[in-house]
Amino acid sequence: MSIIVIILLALISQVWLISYFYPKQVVKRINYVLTHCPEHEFPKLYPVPSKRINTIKNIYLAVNWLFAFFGLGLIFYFAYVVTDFKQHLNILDDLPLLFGMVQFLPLFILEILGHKHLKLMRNQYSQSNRKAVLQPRRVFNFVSPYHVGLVVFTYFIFILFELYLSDFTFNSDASIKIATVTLVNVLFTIIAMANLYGKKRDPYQSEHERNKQTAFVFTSFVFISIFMTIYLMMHSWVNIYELNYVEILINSLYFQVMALFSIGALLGRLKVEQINFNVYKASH
Amino acid sequence: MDIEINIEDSLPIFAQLVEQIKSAVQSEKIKPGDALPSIRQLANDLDINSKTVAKAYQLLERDSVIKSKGYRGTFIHEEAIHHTNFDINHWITTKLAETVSLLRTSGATDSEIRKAFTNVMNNKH
Repeated sequence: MSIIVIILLALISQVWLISYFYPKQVVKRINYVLTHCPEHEFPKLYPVPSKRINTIKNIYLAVNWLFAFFGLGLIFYFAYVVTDFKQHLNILDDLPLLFGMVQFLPLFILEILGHKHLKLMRNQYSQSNRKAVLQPRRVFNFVSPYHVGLVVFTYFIFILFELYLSDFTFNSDASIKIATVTLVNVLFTIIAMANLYGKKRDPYQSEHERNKQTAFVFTSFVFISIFMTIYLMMHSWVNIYELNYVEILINSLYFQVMALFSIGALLGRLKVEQINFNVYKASH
Repeated sequence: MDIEINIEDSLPIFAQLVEQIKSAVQSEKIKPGDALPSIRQLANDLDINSKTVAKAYQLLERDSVIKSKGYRGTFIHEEAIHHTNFDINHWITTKLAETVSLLRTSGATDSEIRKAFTNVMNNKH
């Protein structure tokens, strides 16, 4: 199997996974909630009418499908229309990366809307009785110390690797990469700590559900951080040896693995069927 | 072990916290040496001001029901069960009643006692 065929398969897989398969699963999840938890029975779940949620869901799906068609169109163009493939290698190696960012946009927007939805739920929360567990939550209750150690180890190996490639001088490329990984790790730490000690985003959420969510956030961040660091090391490596074909492949695989660790892990680990929705009932 | 407060209750929130932690110790739902959540965690979970939780923890520490161990956190005191039986409000009332009775016997009027009490409380003596 030639490298071109492998790249084409990887790109098709990227389009299918991020713009078709996972959006379909996300919509299935929303549909489950809308069907099993109707607005009249679970009013606390709907600070906005379910019709609006339905509209957002349909727009989300439509935009994703549009991106899927666009992605397939791009693959078709570069596979069959462009005759001199090698002349476009400089554009092609960054294409999966740029397209991957665009593919993730609907999910980011959905996440922001979800955040706003929870804020409205908090504003409507009017119960005077408030409960809390009289036990401390600690980082290592939710994530293994070995995993955290692995993140730190990968981070330092990455810095050493980048410095080695730049002859132990901080050139712009190495500095940007080190700063990016550092900032992402700091951001992950802040979000993880907010999940651990901060206010509940969903005021009705039980302690059990919250703990499940916190554990998921920690595990996802650990794997995303490790993978992102390894990806940047591989990126530096293929740039040195000018392996443009491999760069296209790893750029495409990067977004697919990211989707797997974020949306895939969310769908697999926080199964909607296992969430206790009774807390959103009018009578609860 | 859950703690539950009612923000509309006439009893102040910090007093509800103190009462419930003491009652949890007495019923052995939490045992000596058990760790308590940090002030920030408990305040965020109950969606109340962290100063309220800090005040409750301060009173519990004064009564030797809990013990703060710096960065390691806050724990239930080894002798907490014995200390929860001590009712400081009852003790203050008894002591004050004894003093007021002594002053009245000595001939002081109620208004003089009130004035003196206010001055003492305001550090004006």
